[in-house]
Amino acid sequence: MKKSSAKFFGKSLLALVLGIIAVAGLAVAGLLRFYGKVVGTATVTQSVQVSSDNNNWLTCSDTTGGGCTITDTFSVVAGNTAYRTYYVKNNAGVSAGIKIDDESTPGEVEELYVAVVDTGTDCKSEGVSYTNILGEEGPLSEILDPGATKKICEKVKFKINTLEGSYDVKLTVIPA
Amino acid sequence: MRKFAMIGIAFLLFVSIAYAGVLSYYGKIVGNVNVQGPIFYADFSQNKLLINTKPSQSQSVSFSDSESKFIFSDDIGGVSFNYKIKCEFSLKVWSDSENQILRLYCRYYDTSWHDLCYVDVTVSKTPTVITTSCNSGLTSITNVHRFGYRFEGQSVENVKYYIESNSDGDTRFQLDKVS
Repeated sequence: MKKSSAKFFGKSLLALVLGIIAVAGLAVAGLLRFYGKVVGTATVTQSVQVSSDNNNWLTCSDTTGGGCTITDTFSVVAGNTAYRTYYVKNNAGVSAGIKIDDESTPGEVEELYVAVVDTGTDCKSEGVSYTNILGEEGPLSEILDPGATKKICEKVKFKINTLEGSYDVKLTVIPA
Repeated sequence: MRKFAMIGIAFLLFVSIAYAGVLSYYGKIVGNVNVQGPIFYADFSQNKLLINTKPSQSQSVSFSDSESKFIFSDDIGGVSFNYKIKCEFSLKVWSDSENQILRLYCRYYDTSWHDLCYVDVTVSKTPTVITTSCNSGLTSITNVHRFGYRFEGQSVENVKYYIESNSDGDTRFQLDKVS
Protein backbone atom coordinates (compact mmCIF):
# COMPACT_ATOMS: atom_id res chain seq x y z
CA MET A 1 0.00 0.00 0.00
CA LYS A 2 1.45 3.34 -1.01
CA LYS A 3 2.15 5.83 1.81
CA SER A 4 0.62 9.25 1.44
CA SER A 5 2.67 12.38 2.20
CA ALA A 6 1.53 15.99 2.75
CA LYS A 7 2.22 18.38 -0.09
CA PHE A 8 2.57 22.15 0.02
CA PHE A 9 2.87 24.04 -3.22
CA GLY A 10 3.88 20.74 -4.66
CA LYS A 11 6.71 20.21 -2.22
CA SER A 12 6.91 17.77 0.58
CA LEU A 13 6.36 19.03 4.12
CA LEU A 14 9.74 17.64 5.19
CA ALA A 15 11.58 19.69 2.60
CA LEU A 16 9.68 22.76 3.71
CA VAL A 17 10.63 22.34 7.34
CA LEU A 18 14.32 21.91 6.46
CA GLY A 19 14.17 25.02 4.35
CA ILE A 20 12.72 27.06 7.22
CA ILE A 21 15.44 25.83 9.58
CA ALA A 22 18.14 26.75 7.09
CA VAL A 23 16.74 30.27 6.66
CA ALA A 24 16.47 30.70 10.43
CA GLY A 25 20.08 29.59 10.83
CA LEU A 26 21.26 32.13 8.31
CA ALA A 27 19.26 34.79 10.07
CA VAL A 28 20.88 33.98 13.41
CA ALA A 29 24.32 33.97 11.84
CA GLY A 30 23.63 37.41 10.66
CA LEU A 31 23.07 38.83 14.16
CA LEU A 32 26.02 40.43 15.97
CA ARG A 33 27.31 38.73 19.02
CA PHE A 34 29.85 41.44 19.78
CA TYR A 35 30.01 45.13 19.11
CA GLY A 36 33.77 44.76 19.61
CA LYS A 37 36.52 42.98 21.48
CA VAL A 38 39.30 44.41 23.59
CA VAL A 39 42.37 42.20 23.91
CA GLY A 40 44.81 43.47 26.54
CA THR A 41 48.28 41.96 26.38
CA ALA A 42 49.87 42.47 29.80
CA THR A 43 53.62 42.18 30.23
CA VAL A 44 54.07 41.31 33.88
CA THR A 45 57.33 42.31 35.52
CA GLN A 46 58.47 40.02 38.30
CA SER A 47 57.68 41.72 41.59
CA VAL A 48 60.74 40.59 43.55
CA GLN A 49 64.13 40.04 41.94
CA VAL A 50 67.57 39.04 43.16
CA SER A 51 71.01 40.25 42.10
CA SER A 52 74.60 39.51 42.97
CA ASP A 53 75.79 43.07 42.37
CA ASN A 54 72.79 45.39 42.89
CA ASN A 55 72.88 46.07 39.17
CA ASN A 56 72.00 43.01 37.12
CA TRP A 57 68.61 41.79 38.29
CA LEU A 58 67.56 38.28 37.43
CA THR A 59 64.13 37.32 36.10
CA CYS A 60 62.80 33.81 36.41
CA SER A 61 62.14 32.06 33.12
CA ASP A 62 60.25 29.19 34.72
CA THR A 63 58.61 28.39 38.01
CA THR A 64 61.51 26.43 39.47
CA GLY A 65 64.24 29.07 39.58
CA GLY A 66 65.43 28.95 35.98
CA GLY A 67 66.91 32.28 34.89
CA CYS A 68 66.93 33.68 38.42
CA THR A 69 69.70 31.63 39.99
CA ILE A 70 72.84 33.39 41.21
CA THR A 71 75.91 31.16 41.09
CA ASP A 72 78.63 32.35 43.43
CA THR A 73 82.01 30.61 43.67
CA PHE A 74 84.27 31.26 46.63
CA SER A 75 86.85 29.60 48.89
CA VAL A 76 86.89 29.13 52.61
CA VAL A 77 89.16 27.37 55.07
CA ALA A 78 87.46 24.69 57.15
CA GLY A 79 86.56 26.15 60.54
CA ASN A 80 86.42 29.70 59.17
CA THR A 81 83.36 31.83 58.51
CA ALA A 82 82.73 33.27 55.05
CA TYR A 83 80.52 36.29 54.45
CA ARG A 84 78.72 36.75 51.13
CA THR A 85 76.52 39.59 49.88
CA TYR A 86 73.57 39.55 47.50
CA TYR A 87 70.66 41.91 46.81
CA VAL A 88 66.88 41.71 46.58
CA LYS A 89 64.42 44.35 45.41
CA ASN A 90 60.68 44.77 45.32
CA ASN A 91 59.49 46.26 42.04
CA ALA A 92 55.84 46.32 43.09
CA GLY A 93 53.89 49.25 44.42
CA VAL A 94 52.82 47.18 47.39
CA SER A 95 54.76 45.42 50.12
CA ALA A 96 56.06 41.97 49.29
CA GLY A 97 56.74 39.19 51.75
CA ILE A 98 59.70 36.93 51.14
CA LYS A 99 61.23 33.94 52.84
CA ILE A 100 64.87 32.92 52.63
CA ASP A 101 65.58 29.29 53.33
CA ASP A 102 68.31 26.74 52.72
CA GLU A 103 68.05 23.82 50.31
CA SER A 104 69.88 20.50 50.62
CA THR A 105 72.64 21.94 52.81
CA PRO A 106 75.63 19.57 53.09
CA GLY A 107 76.30 18.06 56.51
CA GLU A 108 79.75 19.66 56.52
CA VAL A 109 78.18 23.08 57.06
CA GLU A 110 78.26 23.95 60.75
CA GLU A 111 76.49 27.31 60.60
CA LEU A 112 74.36 29.02 57.97
CA TYR A 113 73.00 32.44 58.85
CA VAL A 114 71.19 35.03 56.74
CA ALA A 115 70.05 38.58 57.32
CA VAL A 116 68.25 41.22 55.24
CA VAL A 117 69.68 44.67 55.84
CA ASP A 118 69.92 48.10 54.26
CA THR A 119 72.25 48.23 51.28
CA GLY A 120 74.75 50.43 53.11
CA THR A 121 75.19 48.00 55.99
CA ASP A 122 78.37 45.97 56.35
CA CYS A 123 77.45 42.29 56.73
CA LYS A 124 80.33 41.87 59.20
CA SER A 125 79.19 44.64 61.50
CA GLU A 126 78.06 43.63 64.96
CA GLY A 127 74.67 45.30 64.59
CA VAL A 128 73.48 42.83 61.95
CA SER A 129 70.80 40.51 63.31
CA TYR A 130 71.32 37.13 61.68
CA THR A 131 68.86 34.23 61.58
CA ASN A 132 70.20 30.69 61.81
CA ILE A 133 68.25 29.07 59.00
CA LEU A 134 69.68 25.63 59.76
CA GLY A 135 68.12 25.69 63.21
CA GLU A 136 64.61 26.17 64.52
CA GLU A 137 64.72 29.90 63.78
CA GLY A 138 64.63 29.41 60.02
CA PRO A 139 63.51 30.27 57.44
CA LEU A 140 64.00 34.03 57.54
CA SER A 141 60.81 36.01 56.78
CA GLU A 142 60.99 39.61 55.66
CA ILE A 143 58.62 42.25 54.30
CA LEU A 144 60.02 44.40 51.51
CA ASP A 145 58.50 47.86 51.25
CA PRO A 146 57.26 49.02 47.84
CA GLY A 147 60.25 49.77 45.61
CA ALA A 148 62.75 48.81 48.32
CA THR A 149 66.17 47.33 47.62
CA LYS A 150 67.85 45.39 50.42
CA LYS A 151 71.07 43.53 50.95
CA ILE A 152 71.06 39.81 51.77
CA CYS A 153 73.95 38.89 54.07
CA GLU A 154 74.98 35.24 54.18
CA LYS A 155 77.32 33.85 56.83
CA VAL A 156 78.51 30.28 56.33
CA LYS A 157 80.92 28.23 58.38
CA PHE A 158 82.20 24.76 57.53
CA LYS A 159 83.17 22.29 60.23
CA ILE A 160 86.88 22.18 60.99
CA ASN A 161 87.06 18.52 60.00
CA THR A 162 85.55 19.11 56.55
CA LEU A 163 87.30 17.14 53.86
CA GLU A 164 88.93 19.43 51.33
CA GLY A 165 86.69 19.76 48.29
CA SER A 166 83.85 21.58 46.62
CA TYR A 167 80.43 21.94 48.25
CA ASP A 168 77.20 23.66 47.18
CA VAL A 169 75.37 25.84 49.68
CA LYS A 170 71.95 26.87 48.35
CA LEU A 171 69.56 29.60 49.43
CA THR A 172 66.07 30.08 48.06
CA VAL A 173 64.18 33.35 48.00
CA ILE A 174 60.51 32.45 47.87
CA PRO A 175 57.19 34.27 48.17
CA ALA A 176 56.03 34.37 51.78
CA MET B 1 28.92 10.22 32.89
CA ARG B 2 31.37 10.74 30.04
CA LYS B 3 30.40 14.37 29.89
CA PHE B 4 31.27 14.88 33.58
CA ALA B 5 34.65 13.22 33.10
CA MET B 6 35.44 15.52 30.19
CA ILE B 7 34.46 18.59 32.22
CA GLY B 8 36.62 17.40 35.11
CA ILE B 9 39.68 16.90 32.91
CA ALA B 10 39.17 20.31 31.32
CA PHE B 11 38.94 21.91 34.76
CA LEU B 12 42.15 20.25 35.97
CA LEU B 13 43.94 21.36 32.82
CA PHE B 14 42.79 24.93 33.36
CA VAL B 15 43.90 24.90 37.00
CA SER B 16 47.33 23.50 36.11
CA ILE B 17 47.85 26.17 33.47
CA ALA B 18 46.91 28.88 35.96
CA TYR B 19 49.24 27.40 38.61
CA ALA B 20 52.13 27.13 36.16
CA GLY B 21 52.07 30.89 35.81
CA VAL B 22 52.80 31.50 39.50
CA LEU B 23 56.39 31.65 40.70
CA SER B 24 57.63 29.17 43.26
CA TYR B 25 60.85 31.17 43.61
CA TYR B 26 61.83 34.79 43.32
CA GLY B 27 65.40 33.61 43.04
CA LYS B 28 67.97 31.06 44.07
CA ILE B 29 71.51 31.57 45.30
CA VAL B 30 73.94 28.72 44.79
CA GLY B 31 77.26 29.14 46.54
CA ASN B 32 79.85 26.80 45.09
CA VAL B 33 82.31 26.69 47.95
CA ASN B 34 85.87 25.43 47.64
CA VAL B 35 86.76 24.26 51.14
CA GLN B 36 90.40 23.93 52.19
CA GLY B 37 91.70 22.17 55.26
CA PRO B 38 92.25 24.16 58.47
CA ILE B 39 95.49 26.12 58.93
CA PHE B 40 97.36 26.22 62.23
CA TYR B 41 99.60 29.28 62.52
CA ALA B 42 102.49 29.36 64.98
CA ASP B 43 102.41 32.36 67.27
CA PHE B 44 105.50 32.34 69.50
CA SER B 45 104.45 35.56 71.20
CA GLN B 46 101.51 33.63 72.69
CA ASN B 47 103.34 30.29 72.58
CA LYS B 48 100.45 28.55 70.79
CA LEU B 49 99.01 27.50 67.45
CA LEU B 50 96.28 29.82 66.20
CA ILE B 51 93.46 28.20 64.22
CA ASN B 52 92.94 29.92 60.86
CA THR B 53 94.26 33.21 62.25
CA LYS B 54 97.64 34.75 61.52
CA PRO B 55 99.66 36.20 64.38
CA SER B 56 99.49 39.92 64.88
CA GLN B 57 103.24 40.34 65.47
CA SER B 58 106.59 38.71 64.78
CA GLN B 59 108.41 36.65 67.36
CA SER B 60 111.44 34.38 67.09
CA VAL B 61 112.42 31.43 69.24
CA SER B 62 115.69 29.52 69.39
CA PHE B 63 116.93 26.21 70.71
CA SER B 64 120.14 24.25 70.47
CA ASP B 65 121.34 20.91 69.13
CA SER B 66 118.79 18.16 69.65
CA GLU B 67 116.45 20.26 71.75
CA SER B 68 112.95 21.01 70.53
CA LYS B 69 110.18 23.55 70.55
CA PHE B 70 106.54 22.42 70.79
CA ILE B 71 103.38 24.54 70.50
CA PHE B 72 99.75 23.46 70.20
CA SER B 73 96.27 24.77 69.53
CA ASP B 74 93.32 25.41 71.79
CA ASP B 75 90.85 22.58 72.34
CA ILE B 76 88.71 22.03 69.23
CA GLY B 77 86.26 19.82 71.08
CA GLY B 78 86.90 16.19 70.22
CA VAL B 79 86.43 16.12 66.45
CA SER B 80 86.83 13.21 64.03
CA PHE B 81 88.78 13.54 60.80
CA ASN B 82 87.60 10.78 58.52
CA TYR B 83 90.23 11.07 55.86
CA LYS B 84 93.92 10.31 55.47
CA ILE B 85 95.66 13.49 56.53
CA LYS B 86 98.57 15.21 54.85
CA CYS B 87 100.32 17.93 56.87
CA GLU B 88 101.65 20.73 54.69
CA PHE B 89 104.34 22.58 56.62
CA SER B 90 105.75 26.02 56.19
CA LEU B 91 108.30 27.69 58.44
CA LYS B 92 110.66 30.62 58.45
CA VAL B 93 113.87 29.19 59.84
CA TRP B 94 117.65 29.61 60.00
CA SER B 95 120.59 28.31 62.02
CA ASP B 96 124.02 29.54 63.01
CA SER B 97 125.75 27.06 60.74
CA GLU B 98 124.96 25.72 57.28
CA ASN B 99 123.13 22.53 56.34
CA GLN B 100 121.64 21.61 59.67
CA ILE B 101 118.77 19.13 59.89
CA LEU B 102 115.56 20.08 61.64
CA ARG B 103 112.69 17.59 62.11
CA LEU B 104 109.09 18.84 61.87
CA TYR B 105 106.31 16.92 63.58
CA CYS B 106 102.57 17.16 62.95
CA ARG B 107 100.85 15.99 66.13
CA TYR B 108 97.38 15.58 67.60
CA TYR B 109 95.94 15.07 71.05
CA ASP B 110 92.97 12.86 71.94
CA THR B 111 93.69 11.63 75.44
CA SER B 112 97.43 11.82 74.86
CA TRP B 113 99.79 13.20 72.24
CA HIS B 114 100.43 11.26 69.00
CA ASP B 115 102.61 11.94 66.00
CA LEU B 116 100.63 12.06 62.78
CA CYS B 117 103.85 12.21 60.76
CA TYR B 118 107.19 14.00 60.51
CA VAL B 119 109.67 15.19 57.93
CA ASP B 120 113.27 16.51 57.98
CA VAL B 121 114.35 19.80 56.42
CA THR B 122 117.80 21.24 55.83
CA VAL B 123 118.39 24.64 57.38
CA SER B 124 120.87 27.31 56.27
CA LYS B 125 122.25 30.44 57.90
CA THR B 126 119.97 32.64 55.78
CA PRO B 127 116.42 33.09 57.10
CA THR B 128 114.31 31.15 54.61
CA VAL B 129 110.68 30.10 54.30
CA ILE B 130 110.72 26.34 53.74
CA THR B 131 107.69 24.32 52.67
CA THR B 132 107.33 20.56 52.81
CA SER B 133 104.77 17.93 53.78
CA CYS B 134 104.28 14.51 55.31
CA ASN B 135 101.45 11.97 55.12
CA SER B 136 99.80 10.20 57.99
CA GLY B 137 99.35 6.46 57.69
CA LEU B 138 96.02 6.64 59.49
CA THR B 139 92.77 6.64 57.49
CA SER B 140 91.00 8.54 60.25
CA ILE B 141 91.58 10.05 63.67
CA THR B 142 88.87 10.49 66.27
CA ASN B 143 88.17 12.56 69.37
CA VAL B 144 90.81 15.11 68.41
CA HIS B 145 91.11 17.97 70.88
CA ARG B 146 94.31 19.70 69.79
CA PHE B 147 96.88 19.82 67.02
CA GLY B 148 100.53 20.44 67.72
CA TYR B 149 103.64 21.58 65.79
CA ARG B 150 106.98 20.35 67.04
CA PHE B 151 110.43 21.47 65.83
CA GLU B 152 113.26 19.17 66.83
CA GLY B 153 116.96 19.75 66.14
CA GLN B 154 118.85 16.75 64.80
CA SER B 155 122.34 18.07 65.31
CA VAL B 156 124.78 16.65 67.81
CA GLU B 157 127.10 19.60 67.30
CA ASN B 158 126.94 23.01 68.89
CA VAL B 159 124.15 24.41 66.64
CA LYS B 160 121.47 26.95 67.33
CA TYR B 161 118.18 26.95 65.40
CA TYR B 162 115.92 30.00 64.98
CA ILE B 163 112.28 29.98 63.94
CA GLU B 164 110.11 33.04 63.36
CA SER B 165 106.35 33.40 63.55
CA ASN B 166 105.02 36.55 61.91
CA SER B 167 101.96 38.35 60.62
CA ASP B 168 102.46 36.80 57.17
CA GLY B 169 101.78 33.43 58.71
CA ASP B 170 105.06 31.99 57.40
CA THR B 171 105.29 29.36 60.13
CA ARG B 172 102.24 27.12 59.99
CA PHE B 173 100.84 23.82 58.82
CA GLN B 174 97.66 23.03 56.93
CA LEU B 175 95.69 19.81 56.95
CA ASP B 176 95.01 18.35 53.55
CA LYS B 177 93.86 14.97 52.34
CA VAL B 178 96.28 12.45 50.93
CA SER B 179 95.30 12.15 47.27
